Amino acid sequence: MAKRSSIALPCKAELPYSVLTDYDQYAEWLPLVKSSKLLATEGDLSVAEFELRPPRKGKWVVECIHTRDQMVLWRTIGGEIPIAQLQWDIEGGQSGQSQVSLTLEKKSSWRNFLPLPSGMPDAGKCLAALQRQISSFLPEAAAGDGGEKILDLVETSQGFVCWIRGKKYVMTPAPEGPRD
Amino acid sequence: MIKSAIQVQAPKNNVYTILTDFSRYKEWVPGCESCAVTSQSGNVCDTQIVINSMKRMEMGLRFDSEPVHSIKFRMTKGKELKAYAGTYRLMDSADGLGTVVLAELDIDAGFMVPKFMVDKICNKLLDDTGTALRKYISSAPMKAAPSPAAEKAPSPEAKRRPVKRLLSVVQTAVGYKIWVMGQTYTVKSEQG
Repeated sequence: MAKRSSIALPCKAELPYSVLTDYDQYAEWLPLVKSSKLLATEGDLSVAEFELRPPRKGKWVVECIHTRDQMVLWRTIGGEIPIAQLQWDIEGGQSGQSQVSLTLEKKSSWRNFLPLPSGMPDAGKCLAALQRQISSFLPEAAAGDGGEKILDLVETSQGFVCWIRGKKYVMTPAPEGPRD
Repeated sequence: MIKSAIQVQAPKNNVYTILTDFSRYKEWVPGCESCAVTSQSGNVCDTQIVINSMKRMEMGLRFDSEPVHSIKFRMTKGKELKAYAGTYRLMDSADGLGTVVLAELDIDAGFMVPKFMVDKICNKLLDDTGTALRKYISSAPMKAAPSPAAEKAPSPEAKRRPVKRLLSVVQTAVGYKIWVMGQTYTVKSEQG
């Protein structure tokens, strides 16, 4: 019993692959995840742990199998979640486009035969969230058509950088204390 | 096949040493009454093990180890089960503080025992084994010997991320377009 949904993205396959394999950042964008942590990685295999948002509760542990820029597959190995397997397929297209499909496979259970809510996440909503996260890494997505860019706040590996009317400011953390 | 991730605060070398010290299994493996090594050839070790948890079982178990990385085991003799096999795969934890053991267990108890019940038993066995392993390691700390891979592993912070946009404000003829974390909001001036 599987549910599949797809979305087109205005970027090469490398970007969704890097977002999908960044297991420490899932809480930033995937709606059902409250916090996430990469437990271990060895070659194309990783183990990750997600803490789920209410009404779901507890931890969801998955083993993750990767095929660079093509596929990210999760198999549930722990947690009270009805998902047995979740597969992100990435297809790189012409002129820097890509297509991402998400397939959710339900755990087999006698409850599947009852008219009860499935408790499965919505694949379409997960993909829309991925699309929003992807747009954060695409400069053109935020530029808009025309107009003058007056403020731009970006996070880089060196820290936060703010552009105000074309002038660059590098932000440093303020010491702890009362807010001004 | 049931899987479980067991997090242990000890280096991979130490965890591997404990998991391959079969004659000391009775000190920590839940329900293990005895475990005797009957023969050994290289990394393959045959044992005679007695486990008394829900039922007392005596079986021959063959362990096939790949040093520091994995330990496979399967039943070679025994009357109570049709098959009993599994793997411990050892991975350096991403935080550099220990080891993640990816444990797999597959039991075939015959057609008289339904699969959901066997799966439940496997889950419990793996959970109990994880708890017992953590307890054993914490009670008998070994001399820390970090595995070479752990020493080489880059810290999570070292991972380079592409530039990520958080907020963008564009002034247009009719007002402002505000882009926040992938969503655009339009603020129009009152005159517009």
